[in-house]
Amino acid sequence: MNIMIILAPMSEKTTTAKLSARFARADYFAFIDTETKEIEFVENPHKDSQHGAASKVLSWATKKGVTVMISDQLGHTAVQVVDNNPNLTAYLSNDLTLDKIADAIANKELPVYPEGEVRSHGKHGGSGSGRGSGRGRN
Amino acid sequence: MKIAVASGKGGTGKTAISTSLSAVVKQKVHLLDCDVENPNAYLYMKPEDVVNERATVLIPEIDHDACIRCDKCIDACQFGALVDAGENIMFLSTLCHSCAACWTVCPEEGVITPVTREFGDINHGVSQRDRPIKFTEGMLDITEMITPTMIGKVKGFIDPENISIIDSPPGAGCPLYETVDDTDYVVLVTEPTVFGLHDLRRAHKLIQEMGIPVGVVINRSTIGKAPVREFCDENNIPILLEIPFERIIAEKYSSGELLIDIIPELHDKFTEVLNTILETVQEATA
Ligand code: SF4
Ligand code: SF4
Repeated sequence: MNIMIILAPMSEKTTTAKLSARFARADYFAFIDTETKEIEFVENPHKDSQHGAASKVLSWATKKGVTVMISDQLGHTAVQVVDNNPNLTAYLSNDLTLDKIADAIANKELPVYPEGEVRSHGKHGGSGSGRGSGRGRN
Repeated sequence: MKIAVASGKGGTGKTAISTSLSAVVKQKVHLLDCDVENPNAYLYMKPEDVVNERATVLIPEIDHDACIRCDKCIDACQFGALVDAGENIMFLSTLCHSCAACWTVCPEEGVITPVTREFGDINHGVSQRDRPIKFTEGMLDITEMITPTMIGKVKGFIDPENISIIDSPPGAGCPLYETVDDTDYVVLVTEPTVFGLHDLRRAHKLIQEMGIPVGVVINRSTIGKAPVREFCDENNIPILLEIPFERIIAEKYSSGELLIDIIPELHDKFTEVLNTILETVQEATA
């Protein structure tokens, strides 16, 4: 399986919690490193942003090496960004708790945007290399 | 003098008030429709000799081949209109507020070029009532989201020589702020329903924080029991006018008639409202 960093919106810093229904204005983000299995919670720096919270979150996350995002609420901006960034894939959470997300993606159990189908990581035939394994995280 | 007519929520009859108010002004008057997502004052003002111009803004055009990906532009954009999309920077035109930060901050000469983008219409005309009423409206193109930018464009046509009546967008957020900013008086139109009171509270809070004198018009004053009058009393907000619900108003208003034409007695009442506003502003600026 490719090494990836997964971004998941959270309303609490608990690995057994389900994901936040909000994306850009979630309280926290969990960064899941699929290599080390480490989960890091970071406060959402753009939670109270008046404008463009979704795009700011995505720029911020991309810098931290994120290539996969989980969101049950993909807004207009996030859709445009996902459509234009070949290195970023979006999945629905299927109502799983955070600790189950990485395995569910690895096992191709989660629906992927935009097809809504269950599929492996990587938009182009599942062979995406997942840029930046763990780089640039604080 | 600039008088904004606003309401916390849509559908309270804000435009009914702004149009009749502008029709009783004896001085040179200009009605500006800043409800730019849904301008409808023209239906009542029926402006003639309408001249259209396209509203434009400057947006960044990025030379991706020459870009060194320092990402200073992304960090500088407080509107999130520039996004790190992996290989390239992606530009989201609907979020861009033309603030110029990106091309100012870009360290590489000629990588970001400001170019013109059209985003809506501005229409000018004159409504020929017993005296001419200058009319200007802004209308965003479909899918455009830069409401405050369009409001700023429309307000750019305000002439200080006139009494300007500004029809504001509904809500209590950025568009309302942009519209009432720098005005001399705000008329808040509400109705005595739970929703009306809730939205009146929010809009009043914003206007109060901005330090602008405010008065309330209670429209359809007989349709609900929410304590709007009590709220006004507690907060020392003058109630400028109450207009009871009457079927004839609803019917004729929906076919494009002004309130003061439907119920002629309202003409004098609107004149009183206007005089109260003018006196309040004169006292505040004296
Ligand atoms: S002009 Fe301002 S709002 Fe538009 S992209 Fe540049 S920095 Fe962002
Ligand atoms: S500031 Fe200029 S050079 Fe730097 S990333 Fe933006 S466009 Fe490229």
